[in-house]
Parts: sequence; C-alpha cells; structure tokens
Amino acid sequence: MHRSLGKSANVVMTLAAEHARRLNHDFIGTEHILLGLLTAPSGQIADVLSSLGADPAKIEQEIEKFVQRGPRPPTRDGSPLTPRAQRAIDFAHHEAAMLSQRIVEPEHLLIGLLREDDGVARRVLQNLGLDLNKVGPLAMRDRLEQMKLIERIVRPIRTSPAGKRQMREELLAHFQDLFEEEYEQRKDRKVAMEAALQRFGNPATLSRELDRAICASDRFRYYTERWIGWRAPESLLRFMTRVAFRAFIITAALICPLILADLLINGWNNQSPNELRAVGGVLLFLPLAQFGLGLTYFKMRDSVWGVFGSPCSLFRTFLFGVCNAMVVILCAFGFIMLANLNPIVPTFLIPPICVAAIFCAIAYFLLARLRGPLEIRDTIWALLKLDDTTPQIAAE
Amino acid sequence: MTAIDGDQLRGHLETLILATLEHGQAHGREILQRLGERGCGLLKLKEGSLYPALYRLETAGQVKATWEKDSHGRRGARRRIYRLTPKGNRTLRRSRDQWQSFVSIIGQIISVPG
Repeated sequence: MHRSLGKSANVVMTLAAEHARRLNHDFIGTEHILLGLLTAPSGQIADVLSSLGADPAKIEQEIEKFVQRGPRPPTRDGSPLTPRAQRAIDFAHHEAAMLSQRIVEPEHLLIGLLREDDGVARRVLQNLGLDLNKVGPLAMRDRLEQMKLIERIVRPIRTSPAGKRQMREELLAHFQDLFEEEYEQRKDRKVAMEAALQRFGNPATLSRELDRAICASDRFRYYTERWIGWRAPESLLRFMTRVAFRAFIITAALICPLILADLLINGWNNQSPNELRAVGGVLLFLPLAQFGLGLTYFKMRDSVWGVFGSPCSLFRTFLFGVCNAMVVILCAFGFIMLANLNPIVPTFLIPPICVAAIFCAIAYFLLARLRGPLEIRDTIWALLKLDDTTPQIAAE
Repeated sequence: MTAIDGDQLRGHLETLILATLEHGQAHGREILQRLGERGCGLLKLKEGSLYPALYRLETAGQVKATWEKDSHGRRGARRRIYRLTPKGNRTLRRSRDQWQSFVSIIGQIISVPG
C-alpha cells in the first residue's frame, strides 16, 4: 500500500506489482505501472490512450517487446520500485499538488510516467506515435474544465493574491462535490457539469457578488500587487523589464533630489564627479541586478519543479543558481569599477562579494523550494485559457 | 407556501448563516444543507451565492474559518470550515430580537385582510 495514493491509484499499483510478477521481474518499473493503468477496472486511462490512437493491446505488446521476460519468477514478495518509477510517482504527487488535489489519482500517475524522460513507459508510448502533449490535458479534462469554470468567477475579482488562492480552492472544492453528486445520478459528465453549474449559479453574477464582498485591505493589496507583481499572461522577459524599469524610476526619484540639493548647497567641488559616478552606478546596476536576479530565479524555480517547459533537472537548477550568483558578482564589480573609474576591483572586496553572491543564490534556491509550488499553482490558474469550451448557463 | 428565491433573501442571508452555525461548525455545503432542511426546501438559493455572504461575515469577524485537515477520502480541493465567533453570537442574538419584533409588528399590519 502506498499511503499517499488515492484508492484507485493504489489499485493501479497493486496491478503493477502483479504485472511485474507475471513477467518474472523482481522490481516495479514505469512499464509495469503503465500496464497497471491500462488494466485498471475503471478503464479510464485505457479510454484516454485509445482515444488518442493507442490501442491498449498494442501498448502491452510493445512493452513486452521492450522488456524481456525474466527467467524465473521472483522469489520474494513486495518488489521494490525502480528509481525511475519512484521518480514518476513523485512527479504524480507534484502534478496533483499543482492542481490543488491532495490525493494522487491514476491520471496523475500517467502524467508522472510521461514526465520521466528515460522511463520505458514514455518510450513505448512515443514509439507508438502518441502525441504526448495531448495526453495530460485529455486525462485531466474534467478537472481542467472545473478549474476554468471557477477561474471564470475568480479572475475578475479585485482581491489580494492570497484571497484569490483561497477562493479558488474553496469554490473548487464545493463545485467538485456538486459535480460528483450530479455525476452519481446522471452518469454523464457533460450533463452533470451543466447541472452542477445550474445549482452553483451564473459565473458573472457570482463574480460581481464576490467582488462586492471584498474588504478594503484586500482591495488595497490587489492594487499594489497589480503594480508590482506579475500580470498574467505577460512573458517573463516583459515582467522583468517592467520590474527593472520601475526600480530605475524609484531610485532616480529618491537619489536625484538629494544630489541636486547637495550641488546647490555645496556647489561643484572636486568630490562631485565621484558622487555623480556613484549615483550613475546605482541607477545603472540596481535595475540590471533586479532584472538578472529575477530572470535567473524564475528559471531556477521552473527547473526545480520541472514546470512551464523546463525539464526537472538538478543540473539546470545548479546552472541557474550559478547564473544568479554571477549576476550579483558582475553588478557589484561593475558598480565598483564605475564608481572608482578604475578597471581593477580592490582585492580585499572580492571575497565578501563572492560570499554575498553565494548566499544570494542559496537564498533564491530555498525560496524556489519553499514558495515555488504556491507560485506555480497561482500561475497555472492565472494562465488557464477561458475559452468557450466551458459550459455556460443563460443569464439569470 | 411559496418558495423564497435569492433576491428575497438578500439582507437576511448573513443572519440565516449565523443561525445555522449556532449548531456547530460547518463547511459551505453543510451550511446549505442545514438551510435546506430547516427551510423545507423552499429556500431557492444559488449555492455559490453563499460565499459572498460568508466572506462578509468573516471580514466582520462574526465567523472564523480554517482549512479542513482531514481529506475524508475526498479527491479534490480542501474545504474551509466556518464557526461562530463570540461577536457573531452577539450579532445573531441581536438580529433575532430585531427579526421577532419586525415580524410581530409588520405581521399585525399585513396579515389581517380588509
């Protein structure tokens, strides 16, 4: 029993163990989990794969071509998971968590298998010519449709990011329960979805009602977040450019009056060129540092969790960490060179700068580990395309 | 008896919610269930409309919410459990008095035809 898996995912794992035994393997690999998914009594994953043109029987044949049958039955009970299978299950956990689900279901397992690049399961499906990008959205379609519906309500509401996060999860929980209740009776996803929506209320109306219920402090946080935060669906580059430009304006607004006052009071003297160069250095390198740190942070975060087109890779994470530290070092060196008008950085300054850079990269890495899932979940919601595939009910 | 829809409930929904929470904490669907039972199914309310009222009560400090810890085998997202605060209790008592005098005064005028 895998404690953290849901009931149906556990059934799949039990089946996977049986398939392993049948093939005389004393381990459970991604291929056995795939077989487990295909033979699960609900038939859900088999349906998904066959609707994409991969016949379950053919997948089974392909797997047995790929992995040789063992010479004799395994002697011990409870075969261990291969490292790849374990990783696929970890991916399944991430996948569930990113979509605010607490229990791992068979569809998460399937997506986990596909994310394990070198796993037999992924290679087999690839060999059969399956469009792997279509598998996830199709396997999760109920969930995504429900999320889109809730997002239609929540997106226009002017409230803080935390407020939105809470509303999304709470409303989704309610709507899911409604959907499941209706599905139980009607046995048809589409009809159940419409019935649940009918009971839940018109999204536009609910949106307005909820917006009116937002308290002043959440409203204030909405406007500050709009000013400083990411505005879906802008690109990372655009976001960071905006952040850097804002940093430039704010620093300029703070420093320029000071330096002007200094010049007016003390007049131009032999210290003035140095002061001006230092101000110029701050104005140039502070926005640059913000741009570089932001860019490397988001790239590092996406590599830690393997999302938004980044593969989940320790090496990439490390690489972006190094880039992150380099941004600090380069900006600090640049500033010192400009302020001293000397291409040589004093040696006594180099160690503290390097230490600061390493600490910076570690801090950003920890941030990516700790806050990453939250940010990613918010981003997934904010990027949901609210097209017309979501059923709508007539205006009340 | 005729059914009461969401528009007619406006302004009273908060008090109704407080009254259901007097019997112990509950999540959104449970509150609706209690309303349904006691209104004999004659309260016609879109289920989503419960939440604006709950959030207003929460802002006013009359209810307090926590995320449920146990999944109870549910597949999906977490629910939030609402419970009455002492302030909510006081508001409920006041609203109840107001409502009773409202009903007795207005009732005397409207209920006798001719």
